[in-house]
Amino acid sequence: MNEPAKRNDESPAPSFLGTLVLVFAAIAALFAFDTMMANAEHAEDQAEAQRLFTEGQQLARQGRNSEAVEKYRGALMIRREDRHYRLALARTLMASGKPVDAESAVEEVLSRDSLAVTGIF
Amino acid sequence: VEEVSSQPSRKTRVSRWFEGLRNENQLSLVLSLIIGAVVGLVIVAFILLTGRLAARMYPPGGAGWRRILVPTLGSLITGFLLYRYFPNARGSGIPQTKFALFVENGRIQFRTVIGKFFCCAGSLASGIALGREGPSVQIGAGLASVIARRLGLSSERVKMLVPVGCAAALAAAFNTPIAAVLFSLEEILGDLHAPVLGSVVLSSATAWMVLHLVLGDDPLFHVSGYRLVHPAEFAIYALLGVVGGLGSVCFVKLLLALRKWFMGLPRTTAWIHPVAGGLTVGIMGFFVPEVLGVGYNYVERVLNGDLVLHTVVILIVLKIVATAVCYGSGNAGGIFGPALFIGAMIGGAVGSVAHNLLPAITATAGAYALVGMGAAFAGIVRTPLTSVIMIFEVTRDYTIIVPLMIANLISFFISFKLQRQPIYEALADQDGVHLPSSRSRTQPLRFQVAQAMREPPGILPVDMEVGEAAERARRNVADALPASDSRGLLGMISKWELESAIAQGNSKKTLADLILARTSAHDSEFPHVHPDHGVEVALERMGTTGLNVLPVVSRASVRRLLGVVTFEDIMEVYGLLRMREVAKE
Repeated sequence: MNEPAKRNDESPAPSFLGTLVLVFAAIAALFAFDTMMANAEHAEDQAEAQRLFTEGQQLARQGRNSEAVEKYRGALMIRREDRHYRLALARTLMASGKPVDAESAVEEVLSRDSLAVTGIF
Repeated sequence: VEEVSSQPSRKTRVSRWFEGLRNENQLSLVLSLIIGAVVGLVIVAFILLTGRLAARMYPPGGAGWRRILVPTLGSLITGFLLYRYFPNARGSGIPQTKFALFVENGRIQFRTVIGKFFCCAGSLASGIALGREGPSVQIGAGLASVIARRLGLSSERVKMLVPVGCAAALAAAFNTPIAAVLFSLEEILGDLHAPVLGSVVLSSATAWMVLHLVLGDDPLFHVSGYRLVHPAEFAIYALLGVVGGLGSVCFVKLLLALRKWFMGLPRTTAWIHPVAGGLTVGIMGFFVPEVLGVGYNYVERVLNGDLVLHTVVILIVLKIVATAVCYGSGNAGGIFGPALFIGAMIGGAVGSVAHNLLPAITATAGAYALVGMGAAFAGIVRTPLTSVIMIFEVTRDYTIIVPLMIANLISFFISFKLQRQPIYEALADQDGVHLPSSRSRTQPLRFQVAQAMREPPGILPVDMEVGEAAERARRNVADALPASDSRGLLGMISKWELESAIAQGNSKKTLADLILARTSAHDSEFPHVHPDHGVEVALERMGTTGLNVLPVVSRASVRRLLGVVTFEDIMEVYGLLRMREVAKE
């Protein structure tokens, strides 16, 4: 036969309902805080990716392809899904004489849309 | 006749429902959801805070001196806070969580949770080479414990909710809901069939959903789809398992040795020990910035084959040393992340060599880095099942699962052979804490030592002379008496030990001399039992040691004497002494 479980502390337990209300308030506050932090981080990441991409474009225009590739790769680490970044990387890799790397860089884009890379190869 | 409450009409339907929850099993399920949400949100805040602080403290391409100064200062500040205000928030958090679960009835203070959150965020953001997952587990377990106790639940329910918090934390920290469930059962509870499975799954799933809601659907590491290129690769993956296992053993042994050394230093200097870790990692980071912090960016790079062989080899050595020094010196942070880092680098190195030698029949280095992560995790943390599922979840790559299982098992086996005690158990042991083994936890006990033990007989001070101690022992029926100093129990002194010392003309020596001679010749541990041991364990140990009395000590500290248990006491609980008396009559 199950006996009622003994309470953890001898002191009177805080209000059950009050504690639940406190927990739900904490959930709401934490959610707001996390969302704010995540949005701020997202905005910073986007700006950083754009900065790297722009620097990459400038380097590519100057013919400094290996440095441009590094910048593009950095931008792609942040914005993986960005088709423009990926195509720019592939173009620069092609210009550096690395067609195999260029192909693997746009593999994912190719699998979605085979016409997307017209003009690269 | 049922007693009818005089006031039910005043209660709202909602409050009656909550009241009803107090006595229902469904409370556990509702609390699992709540704990999953709270822990998930707190861990997401922890990840975001650590990442954003780190990006500001030692930004990529920043001045070299910053990479020395920031970890040194960070470890100095957090070291002082840990020493002065949050002593339970040091280290990883996994042994502390197990200790709270099995020894303290699931009790983790809110202060420890706060200390763990801020000290870990500070130390990890300043570049200390430790991980965030172990601390997350303690934070999650602590929050579950605090919520359950605030709701006035029984100790049993509090204990049941601790693994629920652990699973939620790991699911959010690693983005691995299945591995989180397995880890809670395999490592924290040590029982894959634990009755809390349902609650653990619910909280893990809730935390995972919270993570996705806030941070989106991204795996921890993005990797290309790898597959087995040729059946001969199995041999290379097996070799990777061997190398991963050996690397794991080196890491664990170095970490334990350094920690033991730091623990041997005067206790008053403990606040400054973490600076040794901060300075070491800072100097390393000055030359090789990749060694700073958790280093998941570099794990992703090696997983995609973007790091060259010599960098990878340097990182293996530096990360092993940096993590061992940071952890050993008492910084706050875990070893999950470093285990994955070290494993990925070991795999990357083996894979690079293999691919250079046999390009036609091997995958690129990234595939080996992926398998290496699992191998090192299995070797260091010793949870082979969790490690396979975890690698699958962090990469979402299923195609490499069979080589991963082979390498994991080989690494686990080698690690088990060369370092018998798992790392978390060894860390607890160094603290004088004896966690119950999974066997002793699951074994049904008829009688426990607690039922048979008695108050300790006269305790002998260790500065007492052998002659005087022998006099006292002769007046006592027990074969041995406990001897202690100001810090607690040092061991048991048997009558024959005392008599033989007198026979050798050593009656003027102190008991401390006797104990010192004995421990230096054999082991610093002395035979003992814990109150939750079965009496069979006590009988077995009496048989091994030849003593008819054993000290009963706390699991929290082997030096805390709770009582003694004698052979007669054990016979008494079985009712055998009464039978003998009846037979005599």
